[in-house]
Amino acid sequence: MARLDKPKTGQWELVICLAAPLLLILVISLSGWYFSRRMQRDVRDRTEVLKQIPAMEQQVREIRRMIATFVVADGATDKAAELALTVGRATKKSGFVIQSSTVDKQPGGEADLWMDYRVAIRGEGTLKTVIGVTDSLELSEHRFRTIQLNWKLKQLAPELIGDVDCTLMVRTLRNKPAPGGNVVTPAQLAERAATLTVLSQSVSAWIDAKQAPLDLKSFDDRNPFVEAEASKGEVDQSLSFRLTGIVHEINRPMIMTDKGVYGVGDEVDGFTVEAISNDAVTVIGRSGIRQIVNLYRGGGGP
Amino acid sequence: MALYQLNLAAGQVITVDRRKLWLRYLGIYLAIAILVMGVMVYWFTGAMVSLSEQKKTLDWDEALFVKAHPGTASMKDCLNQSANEVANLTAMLESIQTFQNNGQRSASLLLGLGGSLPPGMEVGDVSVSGPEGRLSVVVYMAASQRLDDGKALPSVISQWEKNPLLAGRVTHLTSENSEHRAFGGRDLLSWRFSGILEKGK
Repeated sequence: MARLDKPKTGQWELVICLAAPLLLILVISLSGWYFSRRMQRDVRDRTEVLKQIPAMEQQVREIRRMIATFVVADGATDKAAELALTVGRATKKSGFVIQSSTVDKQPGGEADLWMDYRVAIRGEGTLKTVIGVTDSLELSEHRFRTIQLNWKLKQLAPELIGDVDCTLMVRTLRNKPAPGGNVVTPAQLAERAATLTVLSQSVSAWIDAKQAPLDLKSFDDRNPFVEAEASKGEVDQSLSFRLTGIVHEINRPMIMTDKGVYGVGDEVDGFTVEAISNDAVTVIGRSGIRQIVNLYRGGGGP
Repeated sequence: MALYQLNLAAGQVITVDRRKLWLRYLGIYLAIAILVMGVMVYWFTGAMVSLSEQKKTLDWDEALFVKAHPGTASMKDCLNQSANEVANLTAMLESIQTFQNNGQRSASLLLGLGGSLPPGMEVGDVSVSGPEGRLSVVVYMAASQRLDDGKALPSVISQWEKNPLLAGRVTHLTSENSEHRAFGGRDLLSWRFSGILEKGK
């Protein structure tokens, strides 16, 4: 007798009928979610890049403007002559007697991205004139920085004058072409931009700081080592000459008077010239009294 | 004649009524599923179409952007170029910062040291040296005006510490020694002070 087949109950068909729509819904929703998320991310990233790059370019332009004075233009000659002129102007403006100044190029650093100039200044002057020179250089567009400074007192009267040996540095930057080949993501670019922002804020605080020249009034009339009687009055009664000019020769400064031209050690109408400063001369009379004669600027008196 | 009907599947299959009920439920279930699928397909298609339109606009904007940036073939190039530019500029700024930290602003330092001394005292020698910013200052005063060291020294140091030009700039300020010396035909007292300068000030 043939064995009867197990009757079909249709259970599996039923399961498939019930599960298939659910599975289909699941597949559609998952794939739809996945693709839309992917597209959204792509669109968001690209939109971000489109906003990020112009903002970055703006930031780069601002930073470049900020550091423009440090950057040596491509093909430009070196800045040594320009720096020497700046030093000359600063010393002249401050009345500092310069004996020598040298500007040396230092070896470049970090793939020639920057190069330093070493400026050595030697001369003599009062502390006020040294402050004037360094202030003028430090506030100049080149932003000199002092590396080493020596001011050593060598003369008490008529002013406190010292020998100066000062080394300053100036940094120049070179415009190197940006290296190619690095593939970055927008996130990496944002990270680099954040670092750049922090750094530029720190540097701009120094570069953009509006600093007025220092007020040097506190240095006027401060020499406690000049005799009180010698510092009084423009011209002593007993003096019979007028100081009309001072010639700042490095080795031999001279004074011009209405009686002639004299140097240190010369005698003018019974007074010996002891020291010559920027705008005054100290003379010693036969009695040993020391007097300061200031430049004659017209008016009464001898 | 009697008619007999034999239902051999009785007990093994569901009844007609139950089958009708099942079919009704299945129909409702399938209809809801189809509706849900339709809604989802509609929603996702709409989203995709919207995104696709945004992409088209982006493509257009990017094409214009790339055109405005000679030397770049794609946005990827622009991105890389920007990143390299930023890296270059970062190196430049770091170099300026190092330069700033390695040097001193000596004018304000000298003014602070010389301009705030008590009357009768003057800065004689000043020296700033070394990468660590060693400061050495000699202060002179006429021996005839001699003050009690115990009062004069703290007075000098406190004047310097109070000076805004030196505040937070000079550390480890100490008195090294004092000596009596003849200078320029005068009898002077000198005090030597030393300190360390803060970097980058």
